[in-house]
Amino acid sequence: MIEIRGLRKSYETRYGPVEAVRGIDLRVNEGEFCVLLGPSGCGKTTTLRAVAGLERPDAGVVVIGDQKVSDAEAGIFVPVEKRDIGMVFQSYAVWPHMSVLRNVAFPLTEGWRRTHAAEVERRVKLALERVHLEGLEKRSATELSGGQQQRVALARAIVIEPKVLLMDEPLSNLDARLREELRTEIRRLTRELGVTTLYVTHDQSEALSMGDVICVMNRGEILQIGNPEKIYQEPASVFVAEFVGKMNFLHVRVEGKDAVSSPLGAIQCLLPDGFGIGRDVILAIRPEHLEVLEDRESPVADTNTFRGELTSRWYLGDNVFCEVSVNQQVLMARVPIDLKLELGSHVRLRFPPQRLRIIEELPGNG
Amino acid sequence: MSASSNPEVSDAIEGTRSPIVARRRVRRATTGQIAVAVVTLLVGLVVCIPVITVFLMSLRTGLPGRSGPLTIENFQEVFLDPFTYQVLLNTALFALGTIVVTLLFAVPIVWLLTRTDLPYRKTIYVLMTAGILIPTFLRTIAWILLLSPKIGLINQLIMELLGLENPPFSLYNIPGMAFVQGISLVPAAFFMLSAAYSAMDPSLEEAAYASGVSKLRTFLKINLPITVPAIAAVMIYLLMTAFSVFEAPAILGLPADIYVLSSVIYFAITPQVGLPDYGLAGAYGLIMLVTGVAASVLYFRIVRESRKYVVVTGRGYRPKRIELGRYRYLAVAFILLYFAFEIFMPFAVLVWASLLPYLQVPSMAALSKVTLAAYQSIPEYAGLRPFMNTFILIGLAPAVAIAVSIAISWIVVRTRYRIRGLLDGLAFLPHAVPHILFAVALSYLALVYRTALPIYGTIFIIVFAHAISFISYGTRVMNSAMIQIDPELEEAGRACGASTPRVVGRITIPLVAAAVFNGWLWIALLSYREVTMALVLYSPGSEVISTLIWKMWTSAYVSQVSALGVVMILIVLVLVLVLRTVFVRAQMGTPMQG
Repeated sequence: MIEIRGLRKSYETRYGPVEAVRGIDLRVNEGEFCVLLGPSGCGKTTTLRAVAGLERPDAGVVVIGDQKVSDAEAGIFVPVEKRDIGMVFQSYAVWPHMSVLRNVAFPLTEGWRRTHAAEVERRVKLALERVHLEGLEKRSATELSGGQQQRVALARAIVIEPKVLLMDEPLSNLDARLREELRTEIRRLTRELGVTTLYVTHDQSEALSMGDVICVMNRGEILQIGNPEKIYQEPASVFVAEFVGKMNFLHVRVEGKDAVSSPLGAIQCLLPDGFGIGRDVILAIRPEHLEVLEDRESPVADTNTFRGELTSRWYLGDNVFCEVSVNQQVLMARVPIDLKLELGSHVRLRFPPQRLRIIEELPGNG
Repeated sequence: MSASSNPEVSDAIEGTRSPIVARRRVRRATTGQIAVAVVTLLVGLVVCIPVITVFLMSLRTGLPGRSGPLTIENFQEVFLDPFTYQVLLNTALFALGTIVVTLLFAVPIVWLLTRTDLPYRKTIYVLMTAGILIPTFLRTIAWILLLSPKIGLINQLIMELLGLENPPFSLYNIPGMAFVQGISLVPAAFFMLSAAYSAMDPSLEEAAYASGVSKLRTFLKINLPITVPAIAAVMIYLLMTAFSVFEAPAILGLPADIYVLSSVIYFAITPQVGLPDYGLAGAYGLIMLVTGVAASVLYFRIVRESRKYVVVTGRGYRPKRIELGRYRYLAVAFILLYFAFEIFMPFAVLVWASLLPYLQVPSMAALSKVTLAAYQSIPEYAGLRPFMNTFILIGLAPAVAIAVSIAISWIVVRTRYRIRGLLDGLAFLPHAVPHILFAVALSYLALVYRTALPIYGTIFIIVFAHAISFISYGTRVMNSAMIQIDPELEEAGRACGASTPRVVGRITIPLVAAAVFNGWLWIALLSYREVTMALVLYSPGSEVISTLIWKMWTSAYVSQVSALGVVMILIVLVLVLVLRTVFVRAQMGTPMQG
């Protein structure tokens, strides 16, 4: 279990102090895989390093398991080397002057977890098996490929069977194919071990495919916490919606209990409570949820259906990504490859009411 | 695209070759190979011939050019003489002492600047580079003016204040030589060490902490083993340098009859009485050469070993700097003390000595005697020639060295010819050959072939010696600059139809212009401050400022030496400032090229 309460951290820079983290509250339950997702400079790495004990917070509390490891007000700060954590770094941080074996055994031979030789051997063997590096024990760490080095780093982090595992963009130095392979392996490993994990990334597909919980951050604050489905389907803000995938936005005005007026015309949708008539909000829909139909010259009668013109299309193999211009608004859509559409042809665009999402317009987060 | 090149393209695609195309390819490859072979051969000749000359010199007796049978007489003379072992012991003690002094200052300063919140770090960096403006031989002379038992100002002052009968300090001994030489080598050690230190990925350290390992154990098991190769490399570099330097041990050793290898070689060819003994110099030189080359090989090994340690680095998270708190002023004071030793005190004493008819402790009486006479009479005792020669030297030597370096570095970095490794090694060889030895060999050669190539005793032999010696610096600078230029920038040029020389001239060199300028300036400075080679190679008429000062010092013209020294430092200071400003202007004036 990891608990963060009111975490704050600022840095002195040449241009004055910069608040990297401004008041974060987060709880990762036992055995949960939590992803901190956000653009560079959003404070996700600083948060992770505060949990690790590599940064000393200005304010707030960090709890790992049942131990309060950091409490700025009470002056408590357990240094990193005393915390029960395993950590994987972006640069692998595999020690170049040691063999694979000595790298992985290091926490068990040099740290406070020191144990007898037979036990070290057994656990190192197990850890190397878990990351599929059997037989490379004697190799010098620098003779390994990037993917193998990251596996060494992973083995070194799990060999101590830590309470929590902290990973700082561990895959961003690897190429795309290797990244996907290691993604599934890291997830399988953490499930097997049942270890509570905090994972930092800026890659939304990594976050969506790996996380039990995703915590989207920007400018030192948490914007939304939820499971991948919730984050993708029901983003709380324009920023979250755009960061985890493509999204169409329309500026609309609430006209009734289940209707809004848009630049395209009236749209039926399910409005949550608390949106009074006349209020300006944002209507959002993912490209894959927009229905594109061939235009059969018949007058448009269906609700939420508008006529438009296909202005561009990209064949992507498993689907076709296209842009449709309706009333001078350009909307993105994904359509099945069977739908044969010519550039410039007229289409009908349908907005399924259950897929529409209303986002409150938040100033400053556009 | 022209019609003639079309078949080539289609052939390349289809994997077949018409006879015409094949022939053309062979010819083109040969042009490149010939060019590379010519460069390698030339560099090999100019670098290797002096080395071979040392061998031949050591196997002959008599004056240069007199053909006699090869003999081991010189070696018998050297190795049977107990004096030789005294010299070797002196050299070793001097070298060790130098390393101790250098590291005593360099290691704490590197630690303070890279790991703590020391104030004024920019100023400290600037001062570190400024030290090069005071040549080592001038610094040695200045320290004699401060610490000589007879005339040293500090000695006189302390004797006066404490009423002592005898001077408390003397510089004319091995610790004294090691002190002055050690102080002079601190900037080099500082830059090498701090480069190694900042190349280390901080997450290597953090990963150890995250493994539950204490700070002390992390330092012992991670930081230390990773930086040991770099520290060892620096120590070997210092050892090599201290083993071959000439200026400080010669100036300080001569009055006390303490000789090291370099000064023995020098005095063998410039004896006070009798004829120069090149054979003896060659035999001593061979000892120096063998140790120099062995140390270089070791140095290369260790550097290669430490390169293996440079792994993928992540974002530049710097570990938190240690807060010095109330010790920060102590730290600043320590660094100021160093700069006082290296720059302020030597310069101040030179200025003071230059203003007085004879050296005396500062007082009201002394102030009343202040005069500019030593400056006003410079035209009489120096004339214009040493200045002209110096400008010829620092204009030509760097130009030749950098031009050759560009060609070598381009071949080493850009081409795939197998010979490029050899070429890189050849370019580094002058670094392993001590300057004194190189100059002695050149002087021997120039004497032997004085009718075929009459450059003996002219400024051009000094230019030649400097240009060749400093190719090792030039190629280091150009190698690292060219590695940073993406090869695709050149390939794009060639794809536009430009020939290789044109691509290098129009794309590569403009892109590395800053490195070319810095390399040129650096070599010009080295050439300006160097006295060892010039001293061996000059004759009346080809003296430069540094040899003039040296000669006047041996004749004890204290005020004049000081005045010339101050002028020498001021000239180079103005030159550097002006050139830098002009270059920065020129760079800003041209639109961005790449």
